[in-house]
Amino acid sequence: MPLLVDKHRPRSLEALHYHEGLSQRLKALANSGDFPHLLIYGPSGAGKKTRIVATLKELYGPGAEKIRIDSRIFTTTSNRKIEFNIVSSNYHLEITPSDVGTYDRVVIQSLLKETAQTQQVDTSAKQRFKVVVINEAEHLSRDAQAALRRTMEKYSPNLRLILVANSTANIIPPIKSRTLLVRVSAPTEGEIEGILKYTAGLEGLEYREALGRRIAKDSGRNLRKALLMLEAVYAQNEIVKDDTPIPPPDYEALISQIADEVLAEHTPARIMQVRSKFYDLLTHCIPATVILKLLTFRLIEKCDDALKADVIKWSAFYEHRLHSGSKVIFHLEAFVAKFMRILEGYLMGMVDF
Amino acid sequence: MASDNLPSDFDYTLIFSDLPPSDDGCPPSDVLAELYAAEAVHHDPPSESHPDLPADTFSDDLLALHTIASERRKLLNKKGVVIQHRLHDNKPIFRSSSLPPDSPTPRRNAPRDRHFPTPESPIRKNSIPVETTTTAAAATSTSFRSSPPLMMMSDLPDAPSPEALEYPDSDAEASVEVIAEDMAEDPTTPKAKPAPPPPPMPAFKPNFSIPLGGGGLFSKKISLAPKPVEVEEKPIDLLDEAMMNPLEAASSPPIAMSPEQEEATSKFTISELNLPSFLREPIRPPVTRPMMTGPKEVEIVMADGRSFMVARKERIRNPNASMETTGKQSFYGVDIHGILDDLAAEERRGAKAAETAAAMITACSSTAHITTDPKPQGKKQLLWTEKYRAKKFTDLVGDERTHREVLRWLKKWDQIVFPSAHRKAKRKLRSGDASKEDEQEPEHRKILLLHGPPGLGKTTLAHVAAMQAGYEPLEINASDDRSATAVKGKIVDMLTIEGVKSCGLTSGKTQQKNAGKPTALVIDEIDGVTGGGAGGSGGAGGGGGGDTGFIKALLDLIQADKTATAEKSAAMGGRRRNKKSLDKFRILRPIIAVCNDLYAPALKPLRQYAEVVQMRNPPMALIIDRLEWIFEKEGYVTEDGAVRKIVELSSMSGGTRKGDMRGALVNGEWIATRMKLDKTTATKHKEGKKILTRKAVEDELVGSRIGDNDGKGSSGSGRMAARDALDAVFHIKKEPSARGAAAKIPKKSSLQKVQDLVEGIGEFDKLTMDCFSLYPIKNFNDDSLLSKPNAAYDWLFFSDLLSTRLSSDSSGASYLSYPILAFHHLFSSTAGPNNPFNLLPTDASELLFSGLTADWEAREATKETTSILATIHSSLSSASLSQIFKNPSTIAMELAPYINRILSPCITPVLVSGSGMAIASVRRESEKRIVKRTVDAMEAVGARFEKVRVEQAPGVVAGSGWAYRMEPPIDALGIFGTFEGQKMEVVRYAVRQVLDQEWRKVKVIRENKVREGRMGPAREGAEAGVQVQFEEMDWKTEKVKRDFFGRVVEVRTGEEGPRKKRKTVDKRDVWVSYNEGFSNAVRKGIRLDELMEGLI
Repeated sequence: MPLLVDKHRPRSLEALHYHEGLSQRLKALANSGDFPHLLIYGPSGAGKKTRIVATLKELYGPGAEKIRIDSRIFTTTSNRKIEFNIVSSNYHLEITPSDVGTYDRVVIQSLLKETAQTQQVDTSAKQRFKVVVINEAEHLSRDAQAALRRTMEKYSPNLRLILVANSTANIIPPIKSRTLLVRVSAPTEGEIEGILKYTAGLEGLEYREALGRRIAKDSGRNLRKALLMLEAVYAQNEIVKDDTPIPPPDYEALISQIADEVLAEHTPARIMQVRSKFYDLLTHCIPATVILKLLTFRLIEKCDDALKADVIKWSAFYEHRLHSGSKVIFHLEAFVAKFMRILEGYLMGMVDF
Repeated sequence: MASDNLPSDFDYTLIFSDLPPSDDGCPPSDVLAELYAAEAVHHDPPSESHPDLPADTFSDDLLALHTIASERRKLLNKKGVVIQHRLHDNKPIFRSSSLPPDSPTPRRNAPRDRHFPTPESPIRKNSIPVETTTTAAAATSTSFRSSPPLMMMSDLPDAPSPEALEYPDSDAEASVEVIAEDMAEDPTTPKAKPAPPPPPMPAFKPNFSIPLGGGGLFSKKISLAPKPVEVEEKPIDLLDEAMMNPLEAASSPPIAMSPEQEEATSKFTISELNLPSFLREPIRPPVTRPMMTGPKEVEIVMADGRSFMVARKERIRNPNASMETTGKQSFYGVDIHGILDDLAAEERRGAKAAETAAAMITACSSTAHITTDPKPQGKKQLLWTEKYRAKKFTDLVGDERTHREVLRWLKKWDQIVFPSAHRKAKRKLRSGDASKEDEQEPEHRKILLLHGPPGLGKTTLAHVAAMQAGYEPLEINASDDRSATAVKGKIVDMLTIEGVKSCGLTSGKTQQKNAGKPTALVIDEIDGVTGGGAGGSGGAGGGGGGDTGFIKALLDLIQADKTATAEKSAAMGGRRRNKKSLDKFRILRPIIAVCNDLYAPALKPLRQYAEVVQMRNPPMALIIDRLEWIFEKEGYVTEDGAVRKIVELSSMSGGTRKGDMRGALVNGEWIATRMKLDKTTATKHKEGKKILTRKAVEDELVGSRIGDNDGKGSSGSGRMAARDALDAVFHIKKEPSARGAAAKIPKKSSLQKVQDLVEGIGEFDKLTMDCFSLYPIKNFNDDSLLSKPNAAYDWLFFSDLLSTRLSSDSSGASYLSYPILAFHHLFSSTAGPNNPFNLLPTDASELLFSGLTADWEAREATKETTSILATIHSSLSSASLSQIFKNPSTIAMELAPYINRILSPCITPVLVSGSGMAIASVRRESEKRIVKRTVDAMEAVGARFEKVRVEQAPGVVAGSGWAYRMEPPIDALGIFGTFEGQKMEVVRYAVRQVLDQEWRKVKVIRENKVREGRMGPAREGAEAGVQVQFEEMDWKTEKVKRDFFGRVVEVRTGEEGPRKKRKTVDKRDVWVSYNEGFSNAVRKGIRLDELMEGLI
C-alpha cells in the first residue's frame, strides 16, 4: 500500500544494502553500551534517516519502531505560543527545531532539559539513556547550538543526541568536537541500480537494466528520488521498456530552460524574462540554493571549459549572498547577470572581470 | 353583572364618552363600529366573567343567589349610569320586537339559546334530546347545548317565560348580548356569558329546550325565515372553530362566553355597528352570511355588501387585521405610540418627497447650485461605495463564476434549511437521473471561505448571494467583539435557535404568512481575527490554532457539527424521523467567511474545513460600465476614456492587483466632489452638466507635481508619491541649460532631489524593489558587458544586507536610500516617457511574475504553496512516510513531481455509458494493475479526487462542466506558469474518474475490515459500507426494516404474498409514524395499510 520508499525501507542495520562498514560500526556502537553522541551528515537521499532508525532499533529493540506524533506548545520569552511537533517512541524523541525558525532555542532548552532530567523508567529498556534525534541540525541557530553544548555534557547519563545534517558547515566546532561524526555518503549509481533491482523484485515488477541505469543516473545518487522515479515509471506506463522516457521533474526542466535562455541572449530584457521564471520556481518552494546549483550545473554543461571555473566561483559567491541576505531573487538574478557578463567578456576576448 | 365590575364600567365610560351619543340613533362611523367590536371582544370577558364564575359551580343554591344578586346589580346599574342608559337605547332597539329585558337570568338563557337556536344544525338535533313540546325552532335550539352550561342553568328559571326567551332567540339577540355585555348595559347578558365553555350539562339541555321554545316563538314572531337559516350556519362554523381550538378559547381572558359565542357576538356587533339602522330593526339582524369557504376561513358578508374573511384558527381574524388591533388599542384610549409612528411615517414620506425633489433639483441645476458642501444638504449623505452597493444578485459586478459558485454553495443548504421545499424539488428530480448526480456531490462543507484582494466586492457578494438564496444575512465583522466566548455563544444562538421571526418556517403545517427568513452568518474580515491573545501572525506556532480564540471556537462548532451529523446519519439507519439524536449541536445555517488573505496563519486550521472560493478579478469593462453609469446617475457627463482612466489608475495602486472596484469608486467620487468644488479648472459645462475629462482625471489622480503633494495630498496623489519618486529615479528632467560641462550639475542636483524625495516617502524596501523591477525595461546606456546591471546587483545586495540587519540593529538606516540613488545614478536618462508605468507592456498581466507587482504576487503564491505542502505533509498516510518527507522542500522537489506522475497513469479508460452518465472503467488486466498501484499511491499520500463543477471563463460559451480536483492539490505543484513549450498534459477526466471509483472501492473495503476487526464480521456485508445509500433505501420503502438495534424486522408473514405485490406496484406508500410500546423507545414507520389491517 505505501510508496516504495516507505514500503521497502530497511528496518535493521543488517538489512542495509550499502556502506556495510558503516553499518557494522554502528552496530558495534549500539551494542557497546557506551553510545556516543552522533552527528550524522551526508547528502539527502543517502540513507541517514534509515540508518538512524535502524540504529535505534538495534539499541532498543522493536519498541523503538512504535512511534507517535505529539504536538507540544512552548511559550517563548515574548509570551508567544509556538506549536511544535514531536515524533517519539518510548525510547527516543525526534525533533526538527528548524520548524520553529528562530525560536528553536526555546524548544531545545526546554525540551532537552525536560527529557534529560527524567530517567528512563522502563526497566526493561535496554539502555539507560534516551535518544533525541535532531533533524536538520545545520539549520539550528547559533543560540540553539550554544544551548546544546552544555546540555550534551551535563545530561549525558540520561540523554544521547543524534544530530542529522546535510553538511557540518553550519555546526559550531564545540558541537562537532562533542560528537562522533558519521558521514553517510550517497550511494553510488551501481548501488542504486542494485537496490532498484532488488525492490522491483520484491514488488514483482519487470526490471529493466537499462532503465535502472538511467534512473540511477538521473537521480543524482539520491536513492529516495530513484525509488520514486522507479515507482512513477511503473505507475505511469503500462509496459515499461528500456527506453521508456523518464521525464525530469518539472522544476528541473524549467531550470534547464532558464539556462538555455541565459546562454542565448545577454540583455536586460532577457534578465527580465528569467526573473519571472525564478519567481515561479521560488513560489513552488524550490529552495534558492537548489535553483542556483542546478542552474550552475546546467550552464557549465554548455559553456566553454575556460569559463567553468569562473562560473563555479561566482555561483559560490552568490550562494553566499543568498544566505547573507533575504531577498533571494536579487542574488539569483545577480548570478545570471554576472554569468552574462563573463560569457560576453569571454566571447569578446576580454579577460578581466 | 357587568355593572359589578367597576373597572369595566369605567372603561366604558372612558371609551364611550368620546363617542358621540349618536351610537344609539345614527350609526357611528365605521371606526366607531370597530371600536365597539373590539370592545365587545375584550370587554366581555372581564365584566362578565367575575360574576359568572360562581355560577359555574352549578349548585342550585349558588345559582339562585347569584342570579338574584346579579339582578339586583343590573337594576342598580340601570338606574345609575348614564352610559348605561345610552347603551340601553341600543338594546331596546335590538329587542324592539321582543320585550324589554326582564331579569338578567332570562337574558342569559336567551342569548345562548337565541344564538344557537336559530341555526338549525342537524348535528345538534341529533345529539339533543328534543323536547316534543318545543317547536321546530326549539329542536334547532337543542343544538346549542354545547353552549356553556351556565347559560342553561340560568335558562331554567327563565324558561318559564317564553317571551323572555324570545328576545334572545334572534340573531339580534346575540348582538344584543355582546353589546350589552360590552357596555354593561345589560346586566343580564353578563350572566349569560359567564357560562363558560365547561360543557358539562347535557342534563340541562332539556331546560334549554324550553328556552329554545322561546326561540321558536321568536321565529314565529319575527318573520325572519331566511335569516335564521343563515345564522345557523354561522354558529356551526363557529362552534367548529371553537372546538378545533380550545386553546384559543382558553386564551381569551376570562371567557364568559364560549368562544363561538364570542365570535358570533363580535361579528354581530361589527356588522351591527356598521349598520346601526340595521340594529334598530331586530328582524334584520346581521345579515352576515357565513359561508363555509373551506376549512380555514369563513367568509362573512356584511349587510352593506362588504365581505371579509374570518379565519377559523383565530378568534377573529378580519381581513382588516387592523380592526382588531385598533380595537385593542382603543381600549386604552388613544394609542399615542401609534399616532406618533404614523406621524413619523408621514414625515418620512414627506421628507422623501422633498428629498427626491431636491435631488431632482440638484441634478438639474447647473453649477449655480454648487456650494461649499459638495453634496446637496437635504440628501442623505451616502458614500458612493454604500450608495451603489449591489442590492440584487443581478447587480453584482464581477466575475460571474465566483458569484455562481457562492450561490451554488448556498443552495446546497436548502436541504438543511428548507427541508420541505428541498424534498419536493428533489422528488421532482428523482424522476430524472439527477439523483445520481446528487450522490456524487462532494461532501458539503459548512463554511464558505471567500477570499480575494480588497475592493472586489466580497462582502457585497456574500450579502447579496445570501439574500438571493432566501436568507437574512447577519454580519459579524471586525468591529464586533470576537473573543472566543462571546462569539461562540453568539454563533450558536444564530445558527441553531430559530429566530422568532423564522419560527414559522419549521413548524411544518402552520406556515405563517409573515415568517421571517432564516439567517445566514457572514463573518467579515475573518483574517483579522485575533484569538485569545496569542492569535496573530508568524510562521510556525501562532496560527496553529492552539488557542486562536475565534477560529478555535468556530472549529469546535464545525467539529461538533460533524460528529452530530455522523451520529445522525448513523441513526438514520432505519428511520427517517429520528430527531432525538440531533439535540447535539449542528450547524443549521450557512456561514460565509470573508477574508483577504487566505493564508493568514490564523486561518490555517479553518481552511481544510471550508469551501474555499476565490474572488476573481472582475473584468475591467464591467467596472467601467458601472462607474460610467454611476457618474451618469450622479449627473456628470463623462468624456470618453475618462472613466477608464479612473479605473486603471485606481487599480494600479498599492500591491493589489487590478480590479479594485471600491478603489475606483472612491476615486471617482473624489474626483466628482472635486469637480463640484472647483469652479475654475478644466471642467467644462455642457447643458449644465459637468464634463469629466481624462485630463481632469489625470490631474487629480496622477498629480505629478513632485514637491508639493505632501501636505496637500489627496488620497489619490498621496498614493502617487511613490510613483513620482520612481519617475524621478529613472528620468531626469531636461534642464534647458544642460550642455557639455554643465551636464554634470543637473545630475548632482537631481541626485539631491531624488534623495529628498525618497527619504520623504520612506518606503525604502518597496522603492528598491520597484527599482529592481523596473530597471531592465528602462533605456540606459551601457556597454555590452552588462556592467551597470552588475553594479546594480551589488547595490541590491547591499540593500538586502542592510534591511536584513536592520531588524536587529537600526544604525544603518540612514544608508537605505543609497541603493535607490545608485539606481538613479546608473539608469536615469532624459529619454523615455514621463510616466514609468506606460512603459510596462500593457499585457504585463498575462505574464506571470512580471511588472511591479511581481514580488507581491510571488509572495502570495509562495504562501499558497507552503500551505499546500503543509497539507500534503499532514495527509501522508504513515508516520514513517511523513518522517521521510519532513522538509517542505523535500516534498516540493522529490515527492510532488513523482507523485504527480504516479497519479496520472497512462491508461485509456473505456467509457461505458450507463444510465444517463458515462462511466469510465478499465478493462485490460495490465491496466487494472496500474490502477491498483496508483490507488495504493493515493492511499499512501492521502490524496483523493473530488468532483467539482468547473466554471468556464466568462469568455467561453461552453458553460460549466465537471472535473476531478485533486485534494490536496499536489498537481498544482507541478504547474509552472512560466514554463515554455509543452507542459504536462492535463490528466483526463476519465482517468481520474476511474481512479476515484477505485479509490472509493478500496476505502469501503478497508472500512469494512476495520469494522470487522472491531466488532466482528458485519451482519450483512452489503449493508456495511456505503452509508450514503441508506437514505436512498429509506426513501424507497421496500427496503428491509430494522428495529432499534439495527436488526432486521421480520415482516409478518401472514399475507406476505399479496402485500408484496402491492408494494411493488406503488412505490410511494403512505407512512405513518407509529410509536410502539410505552416508552417510545421503539419507533418505526409502518405503512398505512398495516395500521388499518385490523379495521378493514
